[in-house]
This record gives sequence, C-alpha cells and structure tokens, in this order.
Amino acid sequence: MRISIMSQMQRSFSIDLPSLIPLQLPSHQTNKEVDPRSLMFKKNVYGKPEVDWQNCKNCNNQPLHFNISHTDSLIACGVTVHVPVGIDVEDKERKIKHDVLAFAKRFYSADEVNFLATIRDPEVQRKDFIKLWTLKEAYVKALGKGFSAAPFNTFTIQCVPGTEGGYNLCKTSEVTAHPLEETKKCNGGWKFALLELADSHYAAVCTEDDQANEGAPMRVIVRKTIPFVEDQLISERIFL
Amino acid sequence: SGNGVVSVSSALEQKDSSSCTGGCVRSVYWLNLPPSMASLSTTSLSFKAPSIQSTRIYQVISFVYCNHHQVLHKASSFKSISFGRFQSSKRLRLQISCAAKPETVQKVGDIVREQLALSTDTALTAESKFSALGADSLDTVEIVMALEEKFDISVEETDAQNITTIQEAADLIEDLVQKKPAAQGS
Repeated sequence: MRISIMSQMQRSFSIDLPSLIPLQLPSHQTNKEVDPRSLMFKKNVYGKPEVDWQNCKNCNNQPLHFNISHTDSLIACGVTVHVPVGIDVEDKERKIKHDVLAFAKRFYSADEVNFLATIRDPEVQRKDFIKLWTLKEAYVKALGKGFSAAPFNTFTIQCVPGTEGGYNLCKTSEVTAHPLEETKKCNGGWKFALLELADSHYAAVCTEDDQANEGAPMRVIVRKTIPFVEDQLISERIFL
Repeated sequence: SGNGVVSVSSALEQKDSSSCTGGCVRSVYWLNLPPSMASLSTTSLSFKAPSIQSTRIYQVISFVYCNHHQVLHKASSFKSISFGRFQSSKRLRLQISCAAKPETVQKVGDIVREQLALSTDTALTAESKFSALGADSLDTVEIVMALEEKFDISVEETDAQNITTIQEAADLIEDLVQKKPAAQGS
C-alpha cells in the first residue's frame, strides 16, 4: 500500500481526492493504467468515502481502496489494491488534557488499560496512548461501518513481541463459560502497521488480510506528495 | 391526553404549497406551540394534516419557537423529523425536541474553545462544526469528557463520536441532564 503525505497545510483546505492518488496507479486485472482524474467518488452507507467504480463487473472486489486522515499540519492518504484500508495520523507531541489513564479507562479495553498502567514514564505513556489511539482509529476506519460497529472497548490492539511496529488485534468476547473471564480471539483478519511520518506524526495503517495472501506481511511504501506535481519516495518497509 | 400525546389539529396553518422537482409536493405548515407546551421536549405530537396520501413518504423539517426564546431554530440545528409510510390513519406522529438553551450552547462553546485552544477572535456559533474548528476525533472525545465533567453526565461512546457541532453537543447534554433521576443543578 502507499501512503502519501502532504505537510505544512493550513487549517482550511479542501482535499481534492484524485490529486492524492499517486500519479501512476498500479495496473490491475485489465492491465491498463487508470488516470486518477477519471476516478469518481462516493460514500458508502455509513459515510466512508470510496471510489465509485461505475463500470465494474464484480463490485464486491473493488480494485482500489483508500482512506484519509489529517491533522493541522499533515494529510495522509493510504491507497491499497483489493483490500480495505484505514489510516489515522496524530501529532506525536499532542498533549492530552485529561489524565491518560482516566481517558483509557473510559474508552479503551481492559487489557490496553493494564498495558498503559505498567508504563512509569508519563511521556512514554502518553506516546503509547496516542499510538494506540491511531491504531484503534485505523481499524474502525478500515472497517468502514461507523464507530458503533466497533466500540473502542470491545477490542484490544497489542504489540507483537519481537517485531518493531507490528501489532495485532484481539476482539474480546463476553460470551464465555466463565463469567469473569473474557475470551479473546486474536486471529488474523486485519493487519496493522505503525510508522512515523515527517518526524512529527504517528501514522497507523490497518488493512484487511487478503484471503489470497493470508498471513503475508504488509508492505508499506511512503511517498511525499505535491498534488499533481510530484511524488517523492520516502521509504518502503515490510511489517511482519 | 394521558399518554402524553397532544393533538393540535386546529393550530396547524398551511402557509405555502409548492411542487418541487421529481413530482413531490411540498407543503409548509406553521405550528405555534403554546407556552404551556414549552416543557415538552420528548413528547410525541400528533396532528391531522389535510391532503395527506397514505402511500407517500413524508419528511418534515420544522421551525419552532421554543421556550419563549423567540429564536428560530433552523432545520440544520434541529433534529429533523422524518417518518415512513403510514397506513390507515392520517395522523402524523412527530417527535419534537426543543433545541438546547442558549446558556448550554454557551457553556459548550467555552469548553470547545478551551480544548481546541482557539483564540478569542475565533467566532463560535451553535452551528460551528468541530472539524471546521480543527478538531480531530481525539479532540471530540476530549471535549465530550470535559462536558461530562462539567454537566455531571455520562455519554455513550457512540454518541460521543457522533457529535459534530456545538448545537448537537448542547442538545445531547440537555437530553441527558433531563433524564437524570433527581434534578440536580449544573
């Protein structure tokens, strides 16, 4: 997948969606290049913006997906082929006005609260809180069914040990033989990556596991974009 | 009547009738709620309207004078009322919620201003959208937490994430405050 970033934007802007799609799209089944300017857009029934493939034969398998997130100073657009994607960016230095743990207890899952509670350095705790926020937002946005489809306290995102920036998703289920235990399903289905953009932002990316390539690592290409002018390759990385 | 339904068929005046494109017919009815009804915030109101065809779908966007504030609440800041097909009866059931009091809107505005660190020059109105003021989803949730503390209420997570304007926040707050078991001053 590709992420395009535009930095130093002023607050009031309107995003011209086709301008964020990379200048050269990968060719899909028909082996033709698609001119981004010919793309039409629409919103799904939950309000998530999508490409409107007006002439597609099999619209259940859309060739191109995207998702956008922005802060005061940066816009990020994630583009994937064949799998839904969600992306969320936050300023690394963003201050939380409330007590981080109180905030987490209110909105995050119990496991995530426990994880944050073990971090003694308040600065590290704040950063991990923000990382978790972006990861959780990215998942909900990838799902594309609105916030009520996946309330934040019904799923846990945790680091995969031994990886850098690798995370996985556990859904808590309350239906269990032991009422005090919550069973967790941590199987795949969704892949996550957490990166830093422009040295100033955390970006979390979530994609659906492609059934054809189940378990395959996520390859993330980051480009910096000046719309309609140029794409500059920043990095390419595999997330296990 | 005893079940909280009020009929105001006589109060309905037809002001304007016009056709809009696509063959729909738009009629504007003006409904003045008498002062004694000012406290009805969640009661359903039914009235008879002439020339209603039972097979059509109607959407009503209301303008209401609330609580003597003499403020015209526009549809955008008001819960729009829509209802599906109704079969036999020509009675239309509406749910009208009065928009929040100006003081509540003001208090919400103050909290928003503080959370988003807006300068005093930044104009805030009830219709101001959080996203237009520079708030992202994390800001919205922080604003809601601050409102919970200020008004001593508890907001459902999905409601929290769906608030987009100052008016919506104020309306939700007043709704929740009103539902609290014992009346408590804020």
